[in-house]
Amino acid sequence: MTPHHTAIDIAATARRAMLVTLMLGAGAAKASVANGTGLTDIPIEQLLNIQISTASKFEQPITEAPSVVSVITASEIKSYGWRTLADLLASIRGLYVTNDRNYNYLGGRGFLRPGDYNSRFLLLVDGDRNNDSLYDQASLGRDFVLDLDMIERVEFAPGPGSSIYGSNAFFGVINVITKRGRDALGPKAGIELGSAGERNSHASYGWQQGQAEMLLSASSFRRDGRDLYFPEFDSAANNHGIAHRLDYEKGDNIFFKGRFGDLTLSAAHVERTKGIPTASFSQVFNDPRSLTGDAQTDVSLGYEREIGEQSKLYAKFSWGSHDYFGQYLYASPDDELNYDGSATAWWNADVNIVSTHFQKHKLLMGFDYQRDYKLNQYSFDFFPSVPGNRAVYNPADPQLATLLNDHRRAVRAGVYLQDEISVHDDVLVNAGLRYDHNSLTTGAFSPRLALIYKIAPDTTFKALMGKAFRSPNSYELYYSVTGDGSQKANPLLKPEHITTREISIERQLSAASKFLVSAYRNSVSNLISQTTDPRDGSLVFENLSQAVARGIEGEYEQVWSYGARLRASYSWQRTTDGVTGAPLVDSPLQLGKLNITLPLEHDRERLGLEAQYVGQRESLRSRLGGYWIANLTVFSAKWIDRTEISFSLYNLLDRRYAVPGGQEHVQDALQQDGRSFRMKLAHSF
Amino acid sequence: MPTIYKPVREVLAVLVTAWLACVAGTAHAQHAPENQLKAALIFNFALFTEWPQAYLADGEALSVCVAKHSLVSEALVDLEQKSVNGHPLRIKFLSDGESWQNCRVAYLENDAHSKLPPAGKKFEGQSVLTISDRPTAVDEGIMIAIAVENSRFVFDINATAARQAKLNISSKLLRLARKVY
Repeated sequence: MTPHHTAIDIAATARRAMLVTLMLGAGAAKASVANGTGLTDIPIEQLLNIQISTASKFEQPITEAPSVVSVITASEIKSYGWRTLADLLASIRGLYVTNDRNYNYLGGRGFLRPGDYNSRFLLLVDGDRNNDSLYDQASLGRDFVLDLDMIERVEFAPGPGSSIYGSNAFFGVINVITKRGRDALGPKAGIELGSAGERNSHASYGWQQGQAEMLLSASSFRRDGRDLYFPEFDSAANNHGIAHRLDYEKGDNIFFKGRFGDLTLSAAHVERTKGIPTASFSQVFNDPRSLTGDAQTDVSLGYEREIGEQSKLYAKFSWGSHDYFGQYLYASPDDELNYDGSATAWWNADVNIVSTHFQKHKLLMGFDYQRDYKLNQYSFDFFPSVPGNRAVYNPADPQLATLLNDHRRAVRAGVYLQDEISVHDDVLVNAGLRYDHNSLTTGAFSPRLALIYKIAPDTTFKALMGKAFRSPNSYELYYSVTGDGSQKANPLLKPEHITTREISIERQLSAASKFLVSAYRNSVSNLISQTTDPRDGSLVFENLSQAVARGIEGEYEQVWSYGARLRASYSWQRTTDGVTGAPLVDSPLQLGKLNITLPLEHDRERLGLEAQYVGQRESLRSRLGGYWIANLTVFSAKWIDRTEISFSLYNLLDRRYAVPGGQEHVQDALQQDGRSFRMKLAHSF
Repeated sequence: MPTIYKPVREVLAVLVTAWLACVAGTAHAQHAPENQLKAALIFNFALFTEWPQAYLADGEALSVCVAKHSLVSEALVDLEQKSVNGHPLRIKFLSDGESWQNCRVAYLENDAHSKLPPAGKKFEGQSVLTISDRPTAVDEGIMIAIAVENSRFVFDINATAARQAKLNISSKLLRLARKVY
């Protein structure tokens, strides 16, 4: 073992990214690699085929992953001028994002449940669970814990990931891999300016010496937002439907990652405040006090070491907290502010071993334990009209009306085993099973079986079958308020399950182009949905729905020798509610993506063009038409010495388009932004 | 505990037993570390390059030079028993200040503390195939720049620099390169 790390083991510093062992592209080649020198006997084309870490924790070539993985790199983040993780994810095959001007919501393969804060996607940062512990929310906007400039790459593995990762790896797993000290050496600073009073400043410092390296970054974001018109509120009493300066957003984050030898320490913190212009949850329209705030902190210490020749141990201990705070304004019974929020904290320990000790087997065994030692939810009304009244929560204060003050603790634990078996030179079988225990609800088994068959050196066939689950979160289990719009707890909720079957063919057409087709069927049972209890008229979550999604996806990628790149995908999907037989809400029939990068001069000047099509879909009360939008970015590292400049135009053609509103909105459709721009400047000192 | 139907449980039990038997019945395998892959790439780059006769006569040993204590050192040692196009490979591990004269392949590792001058100047007027994993490699005039992209190794070729050094890089490498300058 060398004590150093080369650029290839980016993921090895990550908690769950596994194994430095290289597995080679072709099954035939792999058999000949009895030792390192055997590598020189392998054609160079195959040497250029390398691994991925999200789909099964250990690194492997994309073609051998038990999922049809998409990878987005730091270079693409620059080329396309993406501002948030949501922007980035929207460019991936089969995914779509809606924004209700408060949070971003991710849909995948036809599923985007209204009122779901992305709890059906597992978000990992360097392999570390980033969903909060109360709503299981994956934060994808400015509330995401990292500045996009700190991302080395993002891997998305669609399909069931619970067999390794447990709850929430329901529709897919997003693994964000951060940069290391060596990837951003020296001091750097930058600013961004954009439409609607957007400004952002960031600074970072990367350092490396021998076995030690570190990266420190901080960024601060402000956006004033435009005045927005909502026809649903167009009356004299409601400022003629104009929400004045309520679409503002501000956020700050810091990030540290340090490594010394086998130890990696990382820490990240984000705080974000967003004004709510939509008067969601039956609030008073156009009141400047309406907002939500989120703060998240993650700290993690990881350790890795090799055991003997063929095994590697990973251990990680992490701590995290997420606080959410909403300030909602109601007119009745009198001028009343409602404070709704949560405070959570947890620690987590994860140990796993990857071993290639047994010939033709690659084993992964692991244990994962999480203690949610703070799971608090509160909701109280406060009357600012009372003189001297301040919004400090004290349950004993007579001027406050406590609606909810719920404190819980929980334990989640999982044990998992996966084996990748080389049945034949060209055939891999990947089998995994995980059992999860959750002290708040029942446990769950998650199996996954994948067959990966290399039909020809350039063609890989995959058949995947698996089951994933999502445990009900504490909000669904215990949130309860009485009075108007009352909601009640349901501690008897069970996990919901998804069964996925997928087949895909990936064909390398030439050294520089490939094509992929995939067909899948997802069936969801015990789906947790909010409903009204006819006995008392209050809202409650129940395991009542079933749904099925079927779809076909195709993707084509090509790279030209002069540096141009193309990625284009098309998805066709049909979802049906198992009870009513109707199509699901917010489930577009078709999705199209096109991403093109053109080098203007080497890699130092590029043009990035992306276009996205979202087909027609049902909203809660009607149907929304499809739309195309395009974004254009010009990037240059040439105009000014040591400085990268980019200029982006979003919604280039100024298309008017809308996304479905949720249950909490009066608006059935929410109009999105027209054309906007951003200029970004980053200097290395 | 979750409900798990009896037939399912039986099938699971059979599968687990069969799998255990199959794992236990097999022996020991070896694996190939990452730096060896890099070394294999360096080997391939040499394989697909032609030196002018004046610099590399038929059958003459081909020296591959790398700074002492490089990450790939260990992996490169394994190449010593190899030869490319009839030239036996000699791996030289050079200390700071030691001359890079007589190198036919030079691998310049990305090391923040390397005291090496920019490669372009160093090998001016000589037929040395320069390879590096520094992000700035192409700008420094290095002929082959190794990088990682989508968690795969990729490489860019500075064909102008190679031409100036009178090296003939095969069209196969040019075709496999991510970018050719």
